[in-house]
Amino acid sequence: MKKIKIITHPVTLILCFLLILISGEHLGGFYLLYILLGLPHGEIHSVLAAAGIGILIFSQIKYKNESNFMVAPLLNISGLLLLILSLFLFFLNDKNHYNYSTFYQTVPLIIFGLFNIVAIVFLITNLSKIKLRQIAT
Amino acid sequence: MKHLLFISALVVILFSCNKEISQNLKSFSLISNIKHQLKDSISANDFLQLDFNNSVITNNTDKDLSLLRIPFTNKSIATDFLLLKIEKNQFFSKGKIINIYKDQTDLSPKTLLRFNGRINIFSLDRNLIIASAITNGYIEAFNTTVRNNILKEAVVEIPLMPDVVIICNYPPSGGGYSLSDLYNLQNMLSGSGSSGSSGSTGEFDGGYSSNGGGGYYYLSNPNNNAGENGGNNGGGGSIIPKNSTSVLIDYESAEILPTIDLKKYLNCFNNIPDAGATCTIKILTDIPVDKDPNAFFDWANGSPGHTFLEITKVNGKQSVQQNIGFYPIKGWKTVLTTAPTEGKFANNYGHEFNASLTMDLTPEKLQHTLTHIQNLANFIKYDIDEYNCTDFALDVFNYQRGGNQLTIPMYDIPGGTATKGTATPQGLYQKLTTMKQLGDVDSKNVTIPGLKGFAGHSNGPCD
Repeated sequence: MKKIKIITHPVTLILCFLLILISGEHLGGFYLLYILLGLPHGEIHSVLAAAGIGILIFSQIKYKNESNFMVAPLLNISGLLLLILSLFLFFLNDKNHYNYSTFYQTVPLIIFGLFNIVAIVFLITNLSKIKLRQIAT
Repeated sequence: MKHLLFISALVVILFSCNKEISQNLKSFSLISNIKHQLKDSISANDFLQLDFNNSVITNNTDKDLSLLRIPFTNKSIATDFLLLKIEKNQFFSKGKIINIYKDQTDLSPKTLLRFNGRINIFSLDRNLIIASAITNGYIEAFNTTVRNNILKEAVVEIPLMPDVVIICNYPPSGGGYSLSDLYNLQNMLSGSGSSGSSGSTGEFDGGYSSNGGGGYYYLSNPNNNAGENGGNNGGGGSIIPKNSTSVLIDYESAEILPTIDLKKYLNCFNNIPDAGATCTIKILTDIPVDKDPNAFFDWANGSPGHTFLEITKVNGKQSVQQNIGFYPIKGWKTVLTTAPTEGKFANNYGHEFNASLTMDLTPEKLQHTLTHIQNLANFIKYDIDEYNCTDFALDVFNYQRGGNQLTIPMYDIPGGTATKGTATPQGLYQKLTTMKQLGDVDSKNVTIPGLKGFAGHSNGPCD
């Protein structure tokens, strides 16, 4: 049970997200670096990532002790969707396929897969919380 | 409140009326100006044959280029038209008369998507400039020996866009498909196309270089495409050209760059005899952000740009060309460690570039350069701040350059530990543009292809 709690914790999700390994043709690094580099220039993937992380942290702090409250899972889901959208747009806007090696090299692919697993578990957990809330009412 | 609403509505109506009138007047004055200017430029017979009512204009705002096509009476705009480059002052600065014939004798599915035929390009006073066959969409006159070999192939698998392409449209409502021909009008107007053996030196004043790997394409017959046209012809007898949009077509770059066997790539040069051979080496730089030469990094995707080499050897009808670039094998390692990582060489055919410098070599010097590349390949490792793609390209380019070494401004990159700074594609670009502007002795060998150009093909490996 404790393990599940760790996996489904927003901080775990954020860490997995920030530690996604990007492999470019010449340069690479953690996704955190790309977010930080793009943020001062208003790059869309950076803005979405910052917004997603902000929502997840806000949800965690504000509704930490109100597990049955419906807003918390909804905020978590929207935060997760923003993180996914950030990644999606990062690769979609990469018209020269500069960072597509990420999907062809073992280490970046494993880390990317790990984020996907954590994201799916996180999504299911939060969806089930909404469902439980509906049954309770 | 009632007055306020009335005044707001009045202002909106007045402004909308003004906008419409000014646009119409602008278009109307364009045709009037063009007519006036054409009277002095073309023969009276051609002038009488021009069908101004069906003229089509395409404005490319991102590259500040307007092209006007005027068909001839009772002829299709797809086959016979006058092509003019329109300047901001509503006059034309360049013009050609184009006649294109499409061979439609063979309509088998195999040839349906390839444009074969002929093209005649005349000056405005009807002097024939180019009469050429079009093979697989390529105007042969625009292509030198190296590419002519490719034109003959049944399947064109090269990163050089044809001058005429055919696209297939599937309407959302279903009911089959339709085919449309698209012309690269810039090539036709400049009359040079993808010149040079590399397909990378053709320039078009006004923006996007259309040679090599991509360019702006225009529907051969915009009148057939109701969705494209504004349908703004007519209007009380005034002649307003129809609006048509252009399409930017680029070759899609490979998702990953496979490592090449450098030895096999360099072997190809041995297949051409040295006696009488012409050899060149070209250094090409692709800056990270095409529209901002001052940016040393693309913040959207983390690209610092790229520098690579194009080596060519031509002897009579025989020719070899290879585009080679240096990369890390695993990009993600470069930031995790400051230590050099394993490098690889990749085929950079069709890679975009923003500036290049060409140097002629004797066959002997070329051989020394090739040997030098082989030697380097045995020990060099990729180091983003101390030995990257630009360092490699400069190392090879300068090897036989003697005292006239190409040196570029070095920059401190974030996290870099190089004491003398780091060589970057942007630094090379700045050096080449400065050489061009200052009229350096090598400035004639510098190519700046508008916004961007594309490198030519590579021959690939030889045993």
